[in-house]
Amino acid sequence: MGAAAAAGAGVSVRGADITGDLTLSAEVCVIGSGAGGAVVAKELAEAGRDVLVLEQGGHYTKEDFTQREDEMMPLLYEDMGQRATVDQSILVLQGRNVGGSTVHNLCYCFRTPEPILTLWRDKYGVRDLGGADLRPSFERVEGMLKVKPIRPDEVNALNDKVRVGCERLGYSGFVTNHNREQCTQSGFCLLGCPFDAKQSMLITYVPAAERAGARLYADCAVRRLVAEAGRVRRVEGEVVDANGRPRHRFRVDAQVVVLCAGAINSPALLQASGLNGNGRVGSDLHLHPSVLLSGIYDEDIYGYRGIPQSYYVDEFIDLERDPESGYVLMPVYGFPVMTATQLPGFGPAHFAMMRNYHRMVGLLVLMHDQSSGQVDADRHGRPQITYTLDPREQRLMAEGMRHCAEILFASGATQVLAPYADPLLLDRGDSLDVFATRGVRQGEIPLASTHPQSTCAMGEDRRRAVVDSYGRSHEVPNLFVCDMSVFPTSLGAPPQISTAALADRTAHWIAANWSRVAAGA
Amino acid sequence: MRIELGRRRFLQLGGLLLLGRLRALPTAAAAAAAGLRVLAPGDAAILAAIGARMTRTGDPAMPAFADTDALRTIDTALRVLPPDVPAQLSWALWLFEWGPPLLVGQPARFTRLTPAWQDAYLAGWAESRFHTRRIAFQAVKNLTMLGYYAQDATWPGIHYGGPWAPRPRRVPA
Repeated sequence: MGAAAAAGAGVSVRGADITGDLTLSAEVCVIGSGAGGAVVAKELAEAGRDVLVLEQGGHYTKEDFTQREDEMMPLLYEDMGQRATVDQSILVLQGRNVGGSTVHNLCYCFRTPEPILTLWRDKYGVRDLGGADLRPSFERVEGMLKVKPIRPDEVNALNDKVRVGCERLGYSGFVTNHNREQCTQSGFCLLGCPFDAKQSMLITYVPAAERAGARLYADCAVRRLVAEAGRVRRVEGEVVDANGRPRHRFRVDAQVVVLCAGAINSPALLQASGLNGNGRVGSDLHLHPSVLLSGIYDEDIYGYRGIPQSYYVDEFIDLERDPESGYVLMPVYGFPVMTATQLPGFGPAHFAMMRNYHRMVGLLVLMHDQSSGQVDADRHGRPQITYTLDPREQRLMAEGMRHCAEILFASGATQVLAPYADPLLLDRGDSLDVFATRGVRQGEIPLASTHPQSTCAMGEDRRRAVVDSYGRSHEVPNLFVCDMSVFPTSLGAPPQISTAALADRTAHWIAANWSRVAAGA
Repeated sequence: MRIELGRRRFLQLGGLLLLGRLRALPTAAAAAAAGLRVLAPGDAAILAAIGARMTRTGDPAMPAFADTDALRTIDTALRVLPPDVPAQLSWALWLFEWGPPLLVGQPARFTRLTPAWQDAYLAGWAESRFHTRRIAFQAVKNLTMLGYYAQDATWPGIHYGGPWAPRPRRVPA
């Protein structure tokens, strides 16, 4: 049994509490504390391992969540929510805090679609990953996160408009499962839950890991994994202040390292550490790129009130028939700053749209993308993201925009706005063929991603995959990757539960094979 | 009016910018910029002028950009961005400021243009066929919208209720 677990209680250290350079050691060093890292930390600590978690962001709790964009975006999002592809055409929203993106996601809970698991097995050589293999992990994760269906009376006005539109058109959609408990329906989920109703990693797995003896160090940004003689020997980085500036240095000597920094930062860190033996680290980036349309109604909607995202439109994706194509539609809303930056134009014309803020319903097209991109670390180790939406998926996305407009009009919208740089404002009765004409070209309409994935793909083929079927690096055997970067393809569904379940599976595999793993065999 | 910046003119602009670096920075908003930690007074003045046009509402019930804490909010936000971002922003603001002679044929920098010319000039950036100019426009727009719509005083005008459970404001480190 590891030393910390034997001591019986973990510790939680914030950067501000660290007064000098640190040298630490652990059996397992987990990098990242989101849907992957928190699960790995808890499961391995409970299995008796001495676990140390490094999180680059701060450790904020419900008392810190002020429900204000200007204060929460810098605390909870990478680059204050401004991380984007190099050409700035796609915003890539990711968390940087204890609990990761689970602290500010919108709580959709979906198991990995069975056809996707089959695709990963048949086309990408991933083994032992059928639905039955994953079921114990799904059940453990869903139990920890208190996953349950949203009740009909919890569907807010914004989501109900989308439901009504779909039903009138005969489109398939449904109310989803969420990880909420005694939700107050305040609607500020995107800015962190000040009521601890959202069952994020912050209030579930992270404290459970600490209770099992894991040590958590927040504000500790890893810069390099040091590998010698075919093993990762230590992790090096900097203790940073609230603004990300270095204060002290640290190193952690570990027998096993589990990298859970997300599909952008994980490959960048591997590259910066010279761990890209087969040249596949950072490649095949999928983003689930999305584009947003807004319906404007005569009546008040107040979309920011209530549970923000509970309905899900799956009419345009059929993974059983084709696991590599399609798109889903998701209701969404934004707070004033997010909305103002996404709406086209400026000045009085822009304000004319903002004035209808309380009468807007957002509906986005989220692509199950085969288009791909790349993450490359620059000379400072910072990730540079490139991505190109291929012509076929540009057309599909334009088709999805048309369906969004249909749904919004069918539920009573008087106008629909597409935020092209040269805005498109449609009135009821206008031809929707315009979407096919104008299309979706990067840089001409804002695109966004909250689900970057696939940059350290798993599989048994060492030439194509970065990690094996259990997340173990093909290059250094005491290194594991446990986040969305291991998905061999686009998931085609919201990823929170899949990420956590795969992490659970990897953690249990490490625990069961500890002697071999620790020896690097 | 549509404004385009060709390659040759862009290079000319680059030359002008180098000369411009030797000249005094605008200082009109220096007082307003007092207390800012990232934005230099000259940059703050340019950003304030751009923000005034970006967030103009035409509604007398809405506050003017200059009457809010928008610049301070932007300055606070810039502290958490990578250290090269403020430097890039500074260059972008110089481009905005010194571009009018080449881009709209006006013998004045942006902060001295008439409001109508300022709007036309900004529209030229927004709709430019050059991706880099559109990116610069969006970056500056994002900052000014952040500064403006983060202010409580703007919320009644857009029917936004604000935080449910107000808490003491955090004091930026």
